Amino acid sequence: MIWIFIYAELLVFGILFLAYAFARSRNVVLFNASQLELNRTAGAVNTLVLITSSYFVVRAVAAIRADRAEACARWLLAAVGLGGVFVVVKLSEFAAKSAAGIGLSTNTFYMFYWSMTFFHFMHVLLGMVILLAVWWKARQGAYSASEHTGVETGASYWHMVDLVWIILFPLVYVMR
Amino acid sequence: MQYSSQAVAKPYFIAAIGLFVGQILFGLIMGLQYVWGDFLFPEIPFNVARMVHTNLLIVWLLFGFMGAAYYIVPEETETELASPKLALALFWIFLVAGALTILGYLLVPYARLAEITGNGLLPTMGREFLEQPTITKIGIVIVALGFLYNITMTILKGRKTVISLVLLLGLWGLAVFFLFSFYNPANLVLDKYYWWWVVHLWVEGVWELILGSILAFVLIKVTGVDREIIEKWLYVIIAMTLITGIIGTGHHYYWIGTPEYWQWLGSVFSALEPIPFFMMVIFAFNMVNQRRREHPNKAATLWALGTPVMAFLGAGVWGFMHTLAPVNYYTHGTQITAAHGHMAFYGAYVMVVLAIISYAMPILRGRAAANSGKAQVVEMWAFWLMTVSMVFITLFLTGAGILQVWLQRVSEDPQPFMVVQEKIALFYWMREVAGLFFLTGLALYIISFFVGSREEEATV
Amino acid sequence: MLNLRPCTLTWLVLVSLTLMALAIGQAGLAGWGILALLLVSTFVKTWLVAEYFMGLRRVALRWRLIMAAYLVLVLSGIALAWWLAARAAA
Repeated sequence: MIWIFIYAELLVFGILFLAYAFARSRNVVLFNASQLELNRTAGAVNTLVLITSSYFVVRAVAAIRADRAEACARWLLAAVGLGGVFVVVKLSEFAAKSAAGIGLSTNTFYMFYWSMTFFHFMHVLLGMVILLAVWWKARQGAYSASEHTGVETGASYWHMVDLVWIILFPLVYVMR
Repeated sequence: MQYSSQAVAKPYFIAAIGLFVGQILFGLIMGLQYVWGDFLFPEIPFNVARMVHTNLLIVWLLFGFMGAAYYIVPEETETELASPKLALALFWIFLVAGALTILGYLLVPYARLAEITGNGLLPTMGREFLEQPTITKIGIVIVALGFLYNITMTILKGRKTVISLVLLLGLWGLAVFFLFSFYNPANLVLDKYYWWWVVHLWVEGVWELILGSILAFVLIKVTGVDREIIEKWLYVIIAMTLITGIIGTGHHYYWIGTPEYWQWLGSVFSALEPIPFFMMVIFAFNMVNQRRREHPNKAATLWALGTPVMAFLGAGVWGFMHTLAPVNYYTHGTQITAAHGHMAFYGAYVMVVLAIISYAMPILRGRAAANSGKAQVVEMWAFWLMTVSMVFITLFLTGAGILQVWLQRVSEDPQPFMVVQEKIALFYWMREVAGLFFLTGLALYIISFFVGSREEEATV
Repeated sequence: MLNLRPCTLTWLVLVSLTLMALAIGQAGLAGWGILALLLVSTFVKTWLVAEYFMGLRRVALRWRLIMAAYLVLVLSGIALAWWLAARAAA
């Protein structure tokens, strides 16, 4: 069931990515120039943060499969913590852009930049809420080696959020 | 009937069907006015007929939703309604206020109605679908608050199920977004911007939650499939509805003075709005195929299967046809919109209300589970007559719309509006005939409540 | 000898490929070779996440095929758009 949802979400992002790519093809100069104004380091740092966070979630799932609920909860908390780092970095990026007076209406590139990164940002927040709920239940001892669907569902969602960013970063920050 | 307070649903359902008849009659009147301009003029001018047609639709659907909530919530929460008396009192208030408003539309010129009702103090009138006098709007808010209080208190004291919570979320959303009908800025762009917060976020947002939960309730009842499975589906459908529907509002913001980015956001997100409807189709058919029991009420099952199919076609496919900005550039405000509106409202909301009525009415009238076989056969005839007529109404309007777009906008030598209207008159005539068939179906539907009532209940 | 879990190895690959993309970005490199490199590395990264993190390895083939089709479609769509852009400029 979660897969249907994940694929539906991926479809939404996929269409946004393709819309970006094709809108760029009609306005290459503008896109290339605007892209240079982005903070690539922040984007790359956030990629590393999400990848590592995803890795922690994998470890959490492995821990619960070995019936180590406490370790599972610790990995989950670490993953949420990294999610928090992503949020902070992203917010500072957003703040810098809006301080420079750049918004949705600045140009087509920034329209895509804002809508895609913000839409993804909302998914990060939702993913963190889900992971926190799973963490809470894991601490209560709700999961075991035989029954941990909740952990796997939350994990899959978080990996989806990671996967989307893995495409978004090179597409918006690097490719020209 | 498991809980005696569920009985308050009955007057709501009866009123809904009564107003439905009124809506169709005014639809036929204005359908004829398309081709016979001064029909019933000056008694019922076109603009008044249109206002009555659309307002009655909204009001009777609201009656249907409220009736559905009063029926569903006690059963889901396993407790009596917080206050059946309040529910009954609100019924009469809403009915009388609704009737007075419609009479006001019909008997007094609109400007005069605005004057009498003190629109000058807080001007909210004069906008499509929100034509109600300000005092009626305030009345609607009071009725909605009382209704929500009643439902919320019932849910708080009883069992909390996903179905009742989704329904509650939808109903609260409905009330909250209606508040934007009181915001009437002088700036026309801002006015339209927030007007859609009522109109779009109702029918392509919170109403879909109500639709999903009513459909899930009926499916649980008629198929006996595990609640857990149905709830998982409901979650996914609701999530997709909100993801696509909220930003999808942007498809109303093309070229009306709003920022250009809405053309992209509106196109992308609203293009995905058919997904939750498609999921509903898969959901309904899967559940019926996996059914654990044969329910004697075949008619209710038919409505429950018909709803997602027609909603997907009307809201999903017909909506997608003109939702992309470059397409909408040509089709905006043509008969294409009318085609989409007819089938989407019928498929999504009319049919789901008829589905819950079909399921609940026999029980409310003292049957164990279903009407007699004879009554069900008549009801199923009504289903097919109305549904097929609506398909034809939609197809004829689509034909009219395509021709209109072509002659009036795309062609190298664009022709004036009224000249084009003459040329598509044939489609309007055919639409009117299909409308008469629809009325026949509706008549059969009402007859189905009165035939075979002395006969044995249908068995599996 | 190092005895890494598959997921740890995956993580290391993901980190290296991300650093490579950052280097390309900082150097401002462009061109067909670079584009191909970025698209292929993105495909590898997303596929690794899907297979080893999401655990697609263990679910029905149908879901893996959908994921593969999705990634191929999106990434080749991007390539197509870049080609159109280059053609329009030429």
